[in-house]
Amino acid sequence: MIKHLAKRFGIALFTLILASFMTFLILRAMPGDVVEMMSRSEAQSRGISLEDARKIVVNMLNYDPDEPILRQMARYYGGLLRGNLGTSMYSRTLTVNQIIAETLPWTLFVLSISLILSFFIGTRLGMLMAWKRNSFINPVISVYSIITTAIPNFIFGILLILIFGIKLKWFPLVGAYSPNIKPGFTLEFILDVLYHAALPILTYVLTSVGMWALQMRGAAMNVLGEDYITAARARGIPDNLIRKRYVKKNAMLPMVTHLAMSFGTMVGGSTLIESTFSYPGMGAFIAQATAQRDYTMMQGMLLVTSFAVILANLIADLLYSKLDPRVKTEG
Amino acid sequence: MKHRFVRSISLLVSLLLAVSILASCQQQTATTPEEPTASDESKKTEVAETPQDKTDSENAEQKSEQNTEMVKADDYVPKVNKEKVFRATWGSWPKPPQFQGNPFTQGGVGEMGRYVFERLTQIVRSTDVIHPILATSIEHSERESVIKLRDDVTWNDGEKFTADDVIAAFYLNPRTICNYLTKVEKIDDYTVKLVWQDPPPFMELRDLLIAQDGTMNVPYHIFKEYVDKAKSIYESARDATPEELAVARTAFGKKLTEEQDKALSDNWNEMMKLTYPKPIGTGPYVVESVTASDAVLVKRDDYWAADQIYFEKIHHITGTAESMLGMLRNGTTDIYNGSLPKDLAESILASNKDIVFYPMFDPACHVLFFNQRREPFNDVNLRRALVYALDRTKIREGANYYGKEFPISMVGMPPSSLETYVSEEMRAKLTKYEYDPEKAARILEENGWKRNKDGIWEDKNGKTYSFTIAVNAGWQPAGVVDTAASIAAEQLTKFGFPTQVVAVDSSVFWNNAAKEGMYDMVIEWGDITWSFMYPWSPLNNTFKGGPSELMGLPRDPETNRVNLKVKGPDGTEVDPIELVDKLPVTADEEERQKIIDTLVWICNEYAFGANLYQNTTGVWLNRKTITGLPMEDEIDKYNQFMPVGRNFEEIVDIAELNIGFADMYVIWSGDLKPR
Amino acid sequence: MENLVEIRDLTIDFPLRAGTIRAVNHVDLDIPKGKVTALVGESGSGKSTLASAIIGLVSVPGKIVSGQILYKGRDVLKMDNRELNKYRWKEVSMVFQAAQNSLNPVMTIREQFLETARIHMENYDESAALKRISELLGYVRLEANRVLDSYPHELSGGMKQRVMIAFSLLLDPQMIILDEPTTALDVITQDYIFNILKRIHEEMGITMFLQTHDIAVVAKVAERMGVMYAGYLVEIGGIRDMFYNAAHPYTKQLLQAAPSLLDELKERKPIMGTPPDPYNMPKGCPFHPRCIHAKPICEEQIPQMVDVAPDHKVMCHLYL
Ligand SMILES: Nc1ncnc2c1ncn2[C@@H]1O[C@H](COP(=O)(O)OP(=O)(O)OP(=O)(O)O)[C@@H](O)[C@H]1O
Ligand SMILES: [Mg+2]
Repeated sequence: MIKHLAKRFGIALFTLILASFMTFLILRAMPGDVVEMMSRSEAQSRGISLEDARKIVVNMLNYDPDEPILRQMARYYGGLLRGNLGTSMYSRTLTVNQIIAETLPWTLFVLSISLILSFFIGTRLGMLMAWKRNSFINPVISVYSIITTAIPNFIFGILLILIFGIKLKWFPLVGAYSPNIKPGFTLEFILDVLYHAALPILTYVLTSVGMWALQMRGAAMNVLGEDYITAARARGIPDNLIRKRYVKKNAMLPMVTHLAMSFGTMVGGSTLIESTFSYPGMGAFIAQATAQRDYTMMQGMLLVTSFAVILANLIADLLYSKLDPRVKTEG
Repeated sequence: MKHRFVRSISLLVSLLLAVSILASCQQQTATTPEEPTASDESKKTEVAETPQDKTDSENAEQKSEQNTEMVKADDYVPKVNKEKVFRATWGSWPKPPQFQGNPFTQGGVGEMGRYVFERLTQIVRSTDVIHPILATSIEHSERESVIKLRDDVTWNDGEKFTADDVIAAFYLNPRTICNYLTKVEKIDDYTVKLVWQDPPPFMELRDLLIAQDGTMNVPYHIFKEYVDKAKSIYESARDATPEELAVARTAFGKKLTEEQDKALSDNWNEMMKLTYPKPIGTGPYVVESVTASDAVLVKRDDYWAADQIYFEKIHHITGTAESMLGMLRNGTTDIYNGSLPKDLAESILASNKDIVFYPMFDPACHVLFFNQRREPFNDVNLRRALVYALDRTKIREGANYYGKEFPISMVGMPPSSLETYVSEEMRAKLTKYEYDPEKAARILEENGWKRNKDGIWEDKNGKTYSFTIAVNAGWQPAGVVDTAASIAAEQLTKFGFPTQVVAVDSSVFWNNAAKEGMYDMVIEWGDITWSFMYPWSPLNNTFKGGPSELMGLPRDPETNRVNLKVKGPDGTEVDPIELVDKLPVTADEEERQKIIDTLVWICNEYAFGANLYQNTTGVWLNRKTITGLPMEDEIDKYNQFMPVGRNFEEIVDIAELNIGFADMYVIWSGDLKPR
Repeated sequence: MENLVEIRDLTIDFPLRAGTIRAVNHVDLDIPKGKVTALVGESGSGKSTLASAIIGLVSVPGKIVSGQILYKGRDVLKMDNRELNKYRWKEVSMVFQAAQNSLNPVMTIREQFLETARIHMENYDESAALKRISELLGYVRLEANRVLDSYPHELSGGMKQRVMIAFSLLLDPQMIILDEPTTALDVITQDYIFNILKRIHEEMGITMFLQTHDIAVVAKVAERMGVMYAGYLVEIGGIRDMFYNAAHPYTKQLLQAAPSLLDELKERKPIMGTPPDPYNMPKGCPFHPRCIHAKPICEEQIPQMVDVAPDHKVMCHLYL
């Protein structure tokens, strides 16, 4: 068991190092000239000539594109080892750690609620679809899932804004909380935060519930075809128990793995959904950092994202072996 | 087993939720400390109680014009908007935790600056009207200008506003104006003297330069260290020689050594690291709270003109274009800037009777620039032919319905102000470029081009071309320049030059289009002024700024300066760059007129680009919650879609509504009130 | 002789995309109480389908088109879910052909045994149930302590099969259906299992209904034997009658093809030809394409079931 764990952690660590390396390289290879972009905006906003602006920007960024890549890498990993993701190239007094510390909670907040909701609703629907194969909900949900996976989810967000924000005025259109409520651990603030999170959460849930339903249906259908289901019926085990202890429990195994992995992949936040709702999460900042070509920030955020994916994979792995007795003894 | 699993999952999730909520609460509270981080020592003063009622005679005079009703803000009781809040949707700002108060950092303080900072004088863009704000008077003599300041102004951290704050701005952040100054001096606490280089800018331009250049004041008590450093560097530098200045004007006419240059740059860099939580200005509002989407500002009681500010609170919201338009549509905002596609504009006005639209000329155009670095665009006849081949009415109708097209190629300045600034004689002389594909074909044929059997043009060597039009993919709002580009491409293709459109990612657009000159044609802002209307600003931009790069004007490989010599309207060879540089320091009005005429003629005659249409912008206001709008009684008569001002007064009134043209002058002047 | 189960005119169809398969075709079959009845036939002849139908289970998409299955005079096919769940396992239990996969992989053996016990036992007492379970596992020579806390995948195929046999006895049912209960086992274990089954039968007097290909096993344990061919029950009778006076040509060939205890090894003959295509059943007697005695009528008409001796019926034109 310990050996098994050690092996898993080893693999995770290796993947992480690989991921950080890839992030580093990919960002260097990205097109787009920070100096050029920043000089233009600097020249415009300060009313100075482009040449002067270029000089200032190069000095300001302290970023030398001609620095040997190995030296850059040494600096990068040196910082990483000390848990330091660097300083945002754009707002130079803020460390990437600070920005992540501020934005990640929002993303996690919306994400965990959305994921759990969509997972629970989706798997329930999927069970129903598998169980009642001939009921009308089958085609209805199938078509729904196809539509929701085909349309980018932020379009849904805009749709919800139109309906619930603009037409019905039930929910606020943007933001994470009202500016006139003092942030703090008060009921008022928490309710306000939930109120603001409603539409982003709804967007996530509506766009991913179909996928969960289809996956669950597939998994449950597989299980329903297993001999042990027939055998259980033969033993006179009532339907509700078969559904719960046999079909669901077995079908859930792969689903839980998916769930854990989704947590990881979604930590980067859906940049588009967060941008649509001006939500102060990681996704919106990744989008902003990309637009500004803030390399250190992108680097840090991508690293956190890959860390989350890898961690989620590890958890999924461990969870799976916890849940499925067949995996446990393998290690 | 099963229960254990469910329990552990739910536990994990609730834990996650709790932690994330807690963490976000904590962080939010952590970002609202009151003290600046790097300059505590300089900030220890109590908020000075300034007298509320000012009896400054000049001030009263000014106000009486603007405040016809003569009600003080304090006495004014609105019926609908009881909270006296002004809700705005526009622009953006760095999101927390990036938000802070130093306006010179990257991204600055965004929209908040408009409420917190004040200028010496406020220019109303597109009209060149100038209102005094912090300056009570500006007097010009041959080589000097003396600015008198209000003596009753305080910064929102309580410090008094004095001449030092104005001088600080000149030295800390030397803008265009400083290229014409030798120094800025303090006469007394409320008087500043500008000393101009020789030859000095002509008098009217001086007002524009002072008004144009940003806020022109920074809190000296906060930036002291950096201001003093910068000032001492400039003062220790040697004066540039006239020859050096002829090549490139420098701030205060100084020639910095490399070390001095570096020291200045380092100083600027250090200054950017100075952050404090909220912007410090002299303006009527202070920032109360900022999130990624919302900013709330409240009115200062100790503001020097508090009695003409009717709104107690500003709620500024930012978001995607969709959500901001949504707020406009459902009446949860009071102001929104910009023009919209025809159908959208009509549907918003129809769906909400409270929304009023004030269209106005934008001193900016979308221009199809011809890149002369690429064959065959170095051929003036081809360029001219292409302008004739474009049906700009169709382009305007498809891309920017409320815009306006002009029968010119391009003129280096907003064509709407040709009448004001170009002599009648020259206007008559300008070649007219009406849509005329036959004429275009004739021009080409006269110059050795032939259509081959597929209808594609071949040059005299039998070579055919296919063109690309590049647009910036990050253009906001989407669907304007890309539509313009695709209609233009279609027209050129039909005419016999196969043309396609590329949308270039905004991160590389300028590098590729301007610096590298990779595309045959580019659609970008052109014939535009970024500051005042007086043609020097747009012409300078055209010949020396972004457009000159997009057009690929020839450059001196060593200095990288535009090196262009062309025949002028009278047949003599002229150097447009020389003329542009001469314009601001030419005292003789007739001579200035000649320079402007010549430069405009050159742009148009040599067809550096095709001005597709001049943009129309506008302001959307919500009359349910605010009152004091221009032509307020006639809104229903015009079905909420107001006419562009019918006389100069109205034009100015309308332009002042535009946040982008006049900042928050409408609120500052007390014209707008909560209803 | 009292019949525990009486199957009348049972027809089961599998409507599939390529056509409809008739897995059980108008079968009449009696399972006498207290006896071991065996059902033999080639793979695909419908044995499992028929057997499963007795506990009211036809695998999807199977449909019972006609007939009755009378258990102690009650029609199983007419029972509602509650009645069925009471009847299953308590009255008739079954060891499935796929005994290997008959256990829920995420529950321990103990949990599964106790679950079934809890559902069926009126005054359920866990320790009493566990005692009974250990006893049964001992019966099939399994070590209860070890097996009970295992998950199915921790047991060998043979162990699982034995667990299923013990499981089938849990509620002291009236009848056990054994669908090839020894497929996964080596010959020695097979033999051993059948000895156990025989002993169980003898000691408890449980009615058994056994499906197998193995004539030798039939000879050893069964008292009656039925033969299925392409969904039809073609012959049925007492074991001695069937072995010595086999009437149907198919039965005869089947006995000859089997490594028999009764015949000389050298006389073994494989059955000619292949079973018919289930989508395309021949007209008339389903066996006629392979029958050496086939007459013209065989190609035209499906023969009736007739008595050739007391308690010995055959479905063949030769005896009409
Ligand atoms: N679930 C099902 N779906 C479709 N067809 C089926 C299904 N179950 C059985 N059949 C068909 O019914 C026929 C009888 O199958 P059955 O399993 O009863 O045969 P069997 O005699 O038990 O064979 P074996 O000796 O191989 O176990 C076969 O043709 C089979 O293909
Ligand atoms: Mg079978």
